[in-house]
Amino acid sequence: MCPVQIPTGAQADAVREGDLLTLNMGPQHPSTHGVFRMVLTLDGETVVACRPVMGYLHRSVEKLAETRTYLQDIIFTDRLDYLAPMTTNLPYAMATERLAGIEVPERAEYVRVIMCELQRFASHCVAVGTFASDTGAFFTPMMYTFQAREQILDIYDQACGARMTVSYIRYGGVSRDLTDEAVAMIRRFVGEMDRNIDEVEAMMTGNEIFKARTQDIGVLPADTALAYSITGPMLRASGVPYDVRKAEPYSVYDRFDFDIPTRRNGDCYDRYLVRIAEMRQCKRILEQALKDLPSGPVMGKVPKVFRPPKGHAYARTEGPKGEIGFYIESDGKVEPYRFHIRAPSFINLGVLSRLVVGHKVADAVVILGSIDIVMGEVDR
Amino acid sequence: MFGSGIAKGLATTFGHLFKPKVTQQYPEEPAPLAVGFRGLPRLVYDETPEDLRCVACSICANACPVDVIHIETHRGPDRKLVLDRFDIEAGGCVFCGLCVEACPFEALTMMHGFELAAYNREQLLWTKEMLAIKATPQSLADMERIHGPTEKEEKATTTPSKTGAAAVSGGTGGEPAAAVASSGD
Repeated sequence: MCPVQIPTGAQADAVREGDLLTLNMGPQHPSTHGVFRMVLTLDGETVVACRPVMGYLHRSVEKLAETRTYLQDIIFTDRLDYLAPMTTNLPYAMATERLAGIEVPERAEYVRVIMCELQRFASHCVAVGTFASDTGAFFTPMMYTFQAREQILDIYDQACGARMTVSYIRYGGVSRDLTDEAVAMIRRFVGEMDRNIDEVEAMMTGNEIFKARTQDIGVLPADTALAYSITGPMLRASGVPYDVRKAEPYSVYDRFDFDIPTRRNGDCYDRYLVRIAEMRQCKRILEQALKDLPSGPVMGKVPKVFRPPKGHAYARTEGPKGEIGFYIESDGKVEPYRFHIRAPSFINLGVLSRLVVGHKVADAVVILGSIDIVMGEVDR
Repeated sequence: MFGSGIAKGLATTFGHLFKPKVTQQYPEEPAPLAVGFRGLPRLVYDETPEDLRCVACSICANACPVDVIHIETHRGPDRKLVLDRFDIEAGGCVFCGLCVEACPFEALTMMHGFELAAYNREQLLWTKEMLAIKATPQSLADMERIHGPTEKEEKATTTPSKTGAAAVSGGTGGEPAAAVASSGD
């Protein structure tokens, strides 16, 4: 429950109400990571209430997808979490495969895992880099993290002809085979991953200013996190070792040896540390996947006119931001009857108004940054 | 000691002077693009621009998720479809490559051109005359990469004559790769 009456409707930039000040943060604000608005009720510098306003980027993806064929819908999954298109392609492809009973070749599964782990690394690079910017380390750590991310985007360019709108993981497998050149690029990058993470950690982990800005800020207890169905690094920073890759292994994740990093405090600093630790786990998975990468086809048997039988299917995967799920219902036509997306950014954002209460305005920016949202996924 | 921190910081700065450059002088020296890069869509012909490979079957227009391909046809004297209009509204194109993957005649490809800015929307309507391009080894390599493994396998088994024709035309288009890259702009 909010302690004060929150003003509704469009507000002027700042409206005085007694001793409380209503401040619109966003939608055009560099710290809100997209077109997101926080209506903050302030007592001095302290936030007493927060009302998140979203929908500025709403494109009606779920409804649009119901008017297009299953293959055409892949382009929408690229544009949900546009910082992690591969990990959004995957659950859609898995849900469609479950619906139609398509077998995926072994090599395609490995290529999927490789691409998704690279994507997790790239997404965490953006999360950590922008988070550092939010705490005041203006753009220097971001340059370092984006350098690593750029190499991953080059690998994607080599693998599928596009850097961000990849449309790579399709039902039945992946759209193109990995070339030897792409594999060599991935191997070279995996060799440099530790150095990339060390560079970022040297700047941020243990940095006194960074710790002062993030420790004990936006503490999320484990029971609250579970009550709000928070997933991803945010949940694991609160001490719940839940990861879909372990809880319900999909693809070939059960063949790899990796840990689920957790922390106990659940503050912004812990969320950052969990992301860094996950980046190191990415390297472990990638090394094993590259070692075992089998040869063979990368596309299973998919009919030309794809018309799955009547029924419904749900598939969930562990994305960089949390659990991504796709629910698809088919009525036997070429387009899905119902297309639902469980977007982790959106659900993780639900707890924001609880986290920021009692903190300063500057901390609200840090807390929002630590949730790691992408508005394309929040608004859909 | 006083000033040691500054010296340490500047050592990092000067150290970078002796490292290889990572910046690219973009407009003067464009970065090499990957084979199969999904850029500017083009219509392929083998001999003359009037004689496109396209048979006006509209499969690409149906495959397009954003409906930017517009095709108009009429029946010719020999009952074959004749292509009157093949327009791509580049303003709406999302460069997904599904049209190229769908094309059963390898008549549509995607080239390396990506500098597609225009001053007004009219310039973003590409007609078939603007899209026509001669088949070259590079464009065919790009196409093969975009078409993907299953398409190729199917072609090899079902329509051997088609792949044979593609191989022949690949041999005739002996232009250097640089000329193709510039024509893709």
